[in-house]
Amino acid sequence: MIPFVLVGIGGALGALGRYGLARWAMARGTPNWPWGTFAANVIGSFVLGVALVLANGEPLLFIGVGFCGGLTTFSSFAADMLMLIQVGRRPAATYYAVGSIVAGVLCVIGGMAFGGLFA
Amino acid sequence: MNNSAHPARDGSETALLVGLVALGGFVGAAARFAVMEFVAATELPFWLATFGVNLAGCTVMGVLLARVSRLGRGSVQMQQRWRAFLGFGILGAFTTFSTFSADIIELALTSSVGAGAYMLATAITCLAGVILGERLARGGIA
Repeated sequence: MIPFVLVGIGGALGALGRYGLARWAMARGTPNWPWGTFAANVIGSFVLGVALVLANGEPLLFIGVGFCGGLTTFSSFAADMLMLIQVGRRPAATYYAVGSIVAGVLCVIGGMAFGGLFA
Repeated sequence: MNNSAHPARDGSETALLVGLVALGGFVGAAARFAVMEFVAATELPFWLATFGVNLAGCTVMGVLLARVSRLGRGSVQMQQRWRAFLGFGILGAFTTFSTFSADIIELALTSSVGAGAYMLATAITCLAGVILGERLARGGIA
C-alpha cells in the first residue's frame, strides 16, 4: 500500500510540474516546437539518471517511478507529433521525435554521471 | 496577462485545474506502478511494462483528442477540465519518457541492436497508437 502512495504522490507532483511547464510554453506560443513537453521530458530524464545512482528502495520509488514518471510523458509527446503532422510540419515532427529521444537518453546518462560525482 | 472581468473566478478555476492534474497524476502514476509490479512478477521481459503503458496511454490519448470537444459539450472550460484530469493528469503520468530513456540504456548494455529496436518500436507504435485512437474515435476507420 505504502509504495503505491509514494509513487502516487511523486506522480502528482511530477504531473503538476509538467502542467506548469506546458502552461508556460503555451503562454510563450512556440507552435514549431512543443517546449513544455520537451522540457519536462529532458528534466525528468536527467533527474531519473541522478536518482538511479544515488537512491534506492522507497526514495527511488518516490523520485524515479513517481516524480520522474509523472513529470515525463509519452502520450503528450505522441500527441505533439500528431499535431505537428496534422498542421503539415512533418520535418518539425521528425526533428522533435529524434531530438526528444536523443536528448532523453543523453540526459539519463548525464544524470548518472552527475550523480556519480556524489556517490 | 489577465484580461478577464472575473479575476477571482479565474483564480479558483486555475486552482481546480491544478487539483485535477494532481489527482490524475496520482492515479496515473500508481496505475503505471501496478503494471510494473505485475510484469516484474512474471517471466516477461522488463521493458514490456514501459512499452505497454506507453502504447496504451498513447492510444487512449488519441481517443481523448478526438472526443474532448464532445466530452466538454462545447464548453471551453469543461474541455480544459477534461484535458487537465485525463490528458495532463492520468495519461501524462501513466506514460513515461524517463523510464523509456533509462530502459534504452539498460538494453544497450547487453545489445545495442535490442536497444535500437526497442526505441524504434516504441516511437513507431506509439505514434501509430495516437493516430489509430484518434481515427477510431472519430469513426474514420473505413
